[in-house]
Amino acid sequence: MVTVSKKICMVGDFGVGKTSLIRRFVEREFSDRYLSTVGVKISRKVVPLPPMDDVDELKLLIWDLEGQTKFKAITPTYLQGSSGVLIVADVTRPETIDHIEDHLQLFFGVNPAGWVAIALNKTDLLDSDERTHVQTSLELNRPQILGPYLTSAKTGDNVDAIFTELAKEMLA
Amino acid sequence: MSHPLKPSIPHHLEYIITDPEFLIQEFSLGIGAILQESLMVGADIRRFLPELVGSEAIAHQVFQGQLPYFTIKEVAHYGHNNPNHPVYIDLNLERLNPQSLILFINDVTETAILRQSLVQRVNETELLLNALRRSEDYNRRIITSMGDALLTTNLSGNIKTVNPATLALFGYHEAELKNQPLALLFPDGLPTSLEPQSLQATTIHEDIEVNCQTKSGKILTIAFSCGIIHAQGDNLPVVIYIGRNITARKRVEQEINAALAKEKELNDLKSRFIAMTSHEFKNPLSSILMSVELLEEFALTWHPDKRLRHLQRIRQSTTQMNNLLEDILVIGKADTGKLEFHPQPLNLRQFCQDLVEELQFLAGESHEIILHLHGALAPQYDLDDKLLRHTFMNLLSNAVKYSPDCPRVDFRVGEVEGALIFEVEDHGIGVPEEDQPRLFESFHRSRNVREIKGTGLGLSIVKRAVELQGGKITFRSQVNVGTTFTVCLPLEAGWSS
Ligand SMILES: Nc1nc2c(ncn2[C@@H]2O[C@H](COP(=O)(O)OP(=O)(O)OP(=O)(O)O)[C@@H](O)[C@H]2O)c(=O)[nH]1
Ligand SMILES: [Mg+2]
Repeated sequence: MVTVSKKICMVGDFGVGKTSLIRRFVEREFSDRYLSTVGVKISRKVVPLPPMDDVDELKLLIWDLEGQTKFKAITPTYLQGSSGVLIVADVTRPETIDHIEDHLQLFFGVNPAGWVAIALNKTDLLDSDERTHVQTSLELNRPQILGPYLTSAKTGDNVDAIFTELAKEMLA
Repeated sequence: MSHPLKPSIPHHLEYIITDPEFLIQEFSLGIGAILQESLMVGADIRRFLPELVGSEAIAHQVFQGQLPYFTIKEVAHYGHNNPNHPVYIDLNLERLNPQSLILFINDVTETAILRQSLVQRVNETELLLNALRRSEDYNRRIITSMGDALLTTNLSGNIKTVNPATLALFGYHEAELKNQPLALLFPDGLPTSLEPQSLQATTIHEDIEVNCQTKSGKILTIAFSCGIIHAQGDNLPVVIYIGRNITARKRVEQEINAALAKEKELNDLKSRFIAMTSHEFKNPLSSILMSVELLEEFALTWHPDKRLRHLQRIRQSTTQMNNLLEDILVIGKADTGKLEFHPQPLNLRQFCQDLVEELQFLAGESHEIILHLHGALAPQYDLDDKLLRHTFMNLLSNAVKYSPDCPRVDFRVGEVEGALIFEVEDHGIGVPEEDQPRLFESFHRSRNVREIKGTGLGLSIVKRAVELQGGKITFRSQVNVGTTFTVCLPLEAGWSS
């Protein structure tokens, strides 16, 4: 039985749903209440993997970072030792989508070989037309980037998928 | 900056010393209380500080001296001894000596919680503002793009906002409407149904149809929905009007109604026609039938005079039916637009004399028809003799028919100021005032005609014939005094020659 531990970070603007995505993934719960994260909170989750040669189990250490605001940028030292990040944006706030590019640069600046998954979150707030529009409007054809995934921490849409896909890539 | 190896660590700092593999060698006394963990020498530090999982490689770099130190600030740590309340700690990992790493741990819970409430408030405000901006933008876009006119006023009826549809509909610029009374948009002031005072708060008043006026004076029919909105806070109430231009719809409705009315009228006409014809044809037909039967039976035995009387009755009835048929044909032509005006040079004097002679012959001894030719008539006028004949045959025979006890009928003809004027005057039973407005309608017969026969078509034919010639017919009448019809045919250039 081989267990591997990997650190990933949740990065994005404040209030986009980083904490909610973790909560959905780890505790299968969601709350409408907003409690902003300060500093960092680390959660763990064992991710079941499809049968692989060398690894039986993956322990994900998910770092929930304080969201970026006008007044405070993301502290790069948190990203050290992180094999991957999940960059989250809020589909109802276009500026959070614009900031994805900044977060990408920040992460690749610290971990040039890392993996990134992009979550366009709160898609439950969009109708189907808007959803297709959002997904197609984002051009991210680069290696080491997965997505964008249209996620919803509220309904659970694509939440497991985005974490496990990212985990798989980090192990490969 | 690198910490030099100090013989003793300042006592206010809490720390854990481990070997390069993170096995605990030593820790300060207060550390258990901060972390809410029961630490043990020899155990893996990651059992108590899972926050360090994943930092092994970095720790190794620090140990090798490749990195001076490694810091994680404000880590929320949930200790085993108090899992529901996080402590916030700053972690700072340094190399202590060739055998050990030292992890300084600083409790920053108090400042973190303070900062959390601050960040919370700032972020919530930002999110709220963002949502507001979005909904405001959204509302504005809806209002600007909506096809219906939207206006708001204050309670005194002064316009506060208008959308582009309003401006397009009424043809004003925004500045011309802002702060102006809403009454500006109505031809006779603000209708009471739209006054802010008559609008109840809390209900929406729908589809109030009123006439509005554009800047250029055009009248439009607008259906308004309106209501009073009490915005939150101390703001004054706002009256909202949403108007839809239904002018076109109204016009179509009116056209349809007119067409329906017309159709109904035609139907009425048809039933009156059937009622009249069956009645009018029945009398002469039965008298013909009766005479024929009598003749069949008694022709051989009767005196020739009696036979002749019956033959004459048959002829008379046949003529009556023939006249009726002719009238019906003319009316039918006029109704379907087939009655046409073909003016040709006509000697009017001769025409009138012939007509009077013919009618005098028909009227026999009982009446005298007197023709008065006034002034100098041109030798010829461009006139339609068929239409003229329809007109005056009817008017003159009516004059005779409806004056059974007064023998005199006057027929005056003259040219006055570029028009031909004809007057037919009798001294008969006259037309009651109630019947005068409908005198020219088909099948309308005055109530005082009693047993005098008639189809009710004559005057209707006359009116159409006169109008077809571009003329006008009027009359004045008094019961038991008489009736005068005046026909005026304007002579356009080239009519007289
Ligand atoms: N409708 C909907 N609301 C969501 C979703 N995800 C998060 N939210 C709400 O968005 C707000 C912020 O969510 P968080 O998960 O606290 O956001 P965060 O990115 O962790 O915010 P910071 O910690 O301040 O950076 C909360 O009120 C959540 O309930 C989602 O998928 N759908
Ligand atoms: Mg958070």
